[in-house]
Amino acid sequence: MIFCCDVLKIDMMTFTSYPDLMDLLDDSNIVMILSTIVIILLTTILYVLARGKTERSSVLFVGISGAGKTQLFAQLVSGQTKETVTSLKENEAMYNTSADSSGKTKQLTMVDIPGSSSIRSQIFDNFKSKVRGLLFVVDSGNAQRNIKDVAVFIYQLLTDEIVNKFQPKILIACNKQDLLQAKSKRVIQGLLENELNTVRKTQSARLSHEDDDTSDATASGSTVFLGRKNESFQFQHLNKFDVKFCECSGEVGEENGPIEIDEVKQWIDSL
Amino acid sequence: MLDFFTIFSKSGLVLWYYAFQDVKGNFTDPVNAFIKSVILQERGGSAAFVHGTVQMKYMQDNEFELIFVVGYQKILTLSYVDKLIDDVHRSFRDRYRQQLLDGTLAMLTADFDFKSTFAHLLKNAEHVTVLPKQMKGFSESKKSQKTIESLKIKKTEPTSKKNDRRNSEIEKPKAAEVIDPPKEEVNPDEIARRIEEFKRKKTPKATKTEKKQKKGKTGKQMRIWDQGGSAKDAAVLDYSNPNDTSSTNGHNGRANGGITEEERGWIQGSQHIQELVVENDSEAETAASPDVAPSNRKKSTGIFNLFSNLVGSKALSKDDLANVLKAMSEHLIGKNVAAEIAEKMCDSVSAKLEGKVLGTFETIASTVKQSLQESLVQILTPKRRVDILRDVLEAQRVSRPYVIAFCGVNGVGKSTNLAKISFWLMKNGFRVLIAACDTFRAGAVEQLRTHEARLNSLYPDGDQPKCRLYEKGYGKDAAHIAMQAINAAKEQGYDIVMIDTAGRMQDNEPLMRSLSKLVTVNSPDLVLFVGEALVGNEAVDQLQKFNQALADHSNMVNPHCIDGIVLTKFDTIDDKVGAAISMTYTTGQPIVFVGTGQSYPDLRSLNPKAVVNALLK
Repeated sequence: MIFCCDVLKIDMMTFTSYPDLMDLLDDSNIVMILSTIVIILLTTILYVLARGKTERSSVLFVGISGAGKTQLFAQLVSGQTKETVTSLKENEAMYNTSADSSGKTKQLTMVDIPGSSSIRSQIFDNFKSKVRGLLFVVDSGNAQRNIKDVAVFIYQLLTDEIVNKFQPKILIACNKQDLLQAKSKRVIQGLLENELNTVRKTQSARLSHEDDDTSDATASGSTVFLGRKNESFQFQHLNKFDVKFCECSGEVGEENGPIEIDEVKQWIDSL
Repeated sequence: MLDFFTIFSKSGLVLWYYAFQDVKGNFTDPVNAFIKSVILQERGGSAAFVHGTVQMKYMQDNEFELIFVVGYQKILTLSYVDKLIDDVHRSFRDRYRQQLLDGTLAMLTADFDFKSTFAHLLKNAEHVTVLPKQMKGFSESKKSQKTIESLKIKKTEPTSKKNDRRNSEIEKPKAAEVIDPPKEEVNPDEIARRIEEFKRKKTPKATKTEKKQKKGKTGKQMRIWDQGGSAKDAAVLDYSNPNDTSSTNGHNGRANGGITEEERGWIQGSQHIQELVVENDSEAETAASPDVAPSNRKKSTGIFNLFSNLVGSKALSKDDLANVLKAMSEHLIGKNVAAEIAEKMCDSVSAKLEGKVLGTFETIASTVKQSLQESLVQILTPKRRVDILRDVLEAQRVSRPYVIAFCGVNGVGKSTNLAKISFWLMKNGFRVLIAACDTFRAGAVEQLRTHEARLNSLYPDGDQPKCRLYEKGYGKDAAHIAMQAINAAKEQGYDIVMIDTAGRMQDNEPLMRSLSKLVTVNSPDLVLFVGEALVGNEAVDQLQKFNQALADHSNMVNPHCIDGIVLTKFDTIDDKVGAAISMTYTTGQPIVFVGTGQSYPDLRSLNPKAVVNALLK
């Protein structure tokens, strides 16, 4: 204590020897400095809070061209069926989830990303940092024919850096169940797992023999190996992602309403 | 008379449509085809498109992001279509302005009841007949307004006119003389004169050769025969290098085909083709750009909205865009993009941006640059899945070989890149058969044999070599050799057949026909066009003519055209990477490989963002 007082005394003495400093430390000046500090702190807190609210509240509809994303989007958001053509730009709209057990509704942004391969990666890059849920739409009627393209796209999504960082929940919706030749979700899951098994093999060499070229790692963006190494690929093996399958259809049924998009709605509510 | 008329947003929602007899299916297919070919391939500059029997005309509204498309039968020539689109555009926009501004949800829920208005506009357009042009009377022509004074020929300037007339008079009879000789009755004097002239024309050459011979015969020199010689000549004729322990074909005598230790290290490389790294000043730029793009795309919120209401929004007009686009076009041409491709790209961007409302803090230049960047990346990104290893596995599953054919003009690097790709495939565990279908160029077969030896020594595999050359010497039919090679591959269990063809100019019709025959007869899985990155405007011509030849001479309903492009000699251009754009724009096919050097690991895959960054720097 005495030592501290001595130190303080010495400090005060050094201060008193500089009359300019004493002038600066007037009461009004101290108040001003303190108030600016408080304002800065408040704004940073508000900014962080505000960013926290809007961060990651998007559900992205992805899939290859012709899967039925835009129609499903229209159904979910407005309850109406519209004719659609190949999308060139994204569709964005707000959606209110139904009230959960505590009566709260969330507001999520639904974004429908076009499926054409030339534009989808550019547009997806714009929205992927805000992803909370990925809705991957598959055309069940043409599943066998398009399986390779679908698998490559899913692989690219699952190995994307930012998607791995945020780990959104994934729902693979087997759309167009109203068609006669539509496959069930179990069949499609099996087909996808088979195909992804092969796809990850043709890409896996990149992961094990990487030459220390950092620009390469960021450019390819894949530093993960999907599933377990010595077993054939299964979606349950992915411990980072929670992948679910469901069946749905965006077409108008006899009662003039969509046949089944309830499962999709439930999944969205659970996000 | 119209088949259909649709109004849809660029995001894919059809706002309103009119279909003949209300058959919905009439318009979805043609419109989808239209979108895929025109908009996605950035050919937006032209305003018409034909799909089957349907001719389509369209207009883009960039303010509300809508597209208006009208389709009618190709054989009808309807003159009122352009006016109709304009009228419909204006009336639709004015009527539904509020709903269009409100966003996606409003567009989805709003009921666009446009039928009656459309019927009215259509009737108006059909009834406005374009009157034929009336002929001008004399009183309206320019000549009646000239004074008599101006028509007089003054004496001060007769000389030039008279000389002209005389010269033309002299020239005409000469021409007549040349054309008419067989018809005239010829004088014998005339004949003699003409013979003299003819001889005179011919002899200058003769005198020259005579002079040469005279010089040669000044002194007798002993004649030296090629095949003969005595022992005295042995020293002169010995061309062997005492230091070189060479065996046949100029190989190093070592059994490993002349591979050095450093080259042996190539086996250690990655099995995957690395992505192309274009020389950039700051690598960080490429990483930063995806972050920049989203912030540009975010709609301004909150405070800025207030400001935008005060400042007022500006819609882009064609003139505003013209200046900026001209500068952009010249910049692209400076980066080795073909001139007509640069023009078309800029027309397409202009069609995409005309009428668009700028945000508050956006400048015209930045908007144009952003839009151009997106278009360029869109063109370079493949439209279909490019995964050769997966396709080879598929072919393996049905136990047939996967056939790749290489074609291109002379000297672009077909054989070199064929060897590089074989190296990559062998690294991934496949067995490759190289078919030497270049039976014309001297040394082509030996070149491939050298590559075969080197590849085998890099990947030795017991008694059955991993790489084999199938050749039948020179002068034989390429298509036949290819067929035999594929059969041999099937029998001996080779996974991939690489067909090396001779280089040929795109104008050479018989060679183009022979290439088309090779492709038709052997139906390869992949036809790769090899083009060098140094090429400029020629690229467009080469690709067009190659594609045309493959389509025309094939006699099939669905001809097999070029499936992919190999861009070679990429290391020789610094950042003048425009050839990539020219080639992908012309064919619409992706660039599958990029060659960046002459040794085996110098093979990369295309990274669209990096190339576009280098292009727009």
